[in-house]
Amino acid sequence: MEREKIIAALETAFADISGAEYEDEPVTFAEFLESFKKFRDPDFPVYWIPWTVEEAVEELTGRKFGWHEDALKDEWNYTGEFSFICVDPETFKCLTAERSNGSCTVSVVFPILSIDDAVQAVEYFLRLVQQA
Amino acid sequence: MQLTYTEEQIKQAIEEVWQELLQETDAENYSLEEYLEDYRKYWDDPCFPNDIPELIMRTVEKIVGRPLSWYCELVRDPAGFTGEYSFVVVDPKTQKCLTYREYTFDGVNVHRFINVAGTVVNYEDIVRLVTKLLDQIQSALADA
Repeated sequence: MEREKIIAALETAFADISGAEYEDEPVTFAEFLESFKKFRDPDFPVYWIPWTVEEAVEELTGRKFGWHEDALKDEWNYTGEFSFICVDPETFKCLTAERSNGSCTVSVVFPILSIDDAVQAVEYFLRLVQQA
Repeated sequence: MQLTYTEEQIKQAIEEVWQELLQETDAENYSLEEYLEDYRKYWDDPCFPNDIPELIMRTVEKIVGRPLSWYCELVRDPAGFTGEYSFVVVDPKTQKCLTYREYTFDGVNVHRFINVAGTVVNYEDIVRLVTKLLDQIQSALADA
């Protein structure tokens, strides 16, 4: 899928999620991520980042999924990494589960500190949905 | 698959898993009661909250009778760890999410949850969370 289409879906999803918060002075998702990367303010609405990725995936596939997301932290602050779990509600299959060396991991982790990182995360989920 | 478990069996399994964990860490004889007392005092210390998901999930696996794949989030707010644990459990054989469920509160919008969560402050909370996970897993396995 073209990058421009993914970015447009991310921006639409972000406008929807950030809603009234930035109504007077609109902020793009790319700007929001730049600000997060610079300041890593602990009070930042950091979960808007994974929610935006998830909503963009749903918009681009025309389907709803079950999600769990976790903004990873070290001792001091958010690391900029996000852990995602995605479940297909039709089959209950955990799309992010992966078998390796006899064990099965459930989540995938992405650093999302720029619009390029977000595009890569969306592309990964689109591939997973396609494979499923 | 029909799982059977009573509160007594859950409590016994918790104790067995606790003993296994102690042996693995070469810890001195440290009762779960003492541990939970320290946990309540220092739960934001990285040494403490991480033992709880291991204890809970190994207990669940012992009762289910096989290993499961799982993810646990230690829920935090800006002030730190809240005491709440959020679990996602997957059957490693089928990769089916065993904690997935859907609700509709208004008959129109579907809410999808893939996790089971609970706060752990004391021993009874551990029993309650293990039971909640087992109930959910049993219902998912019955639907399979």
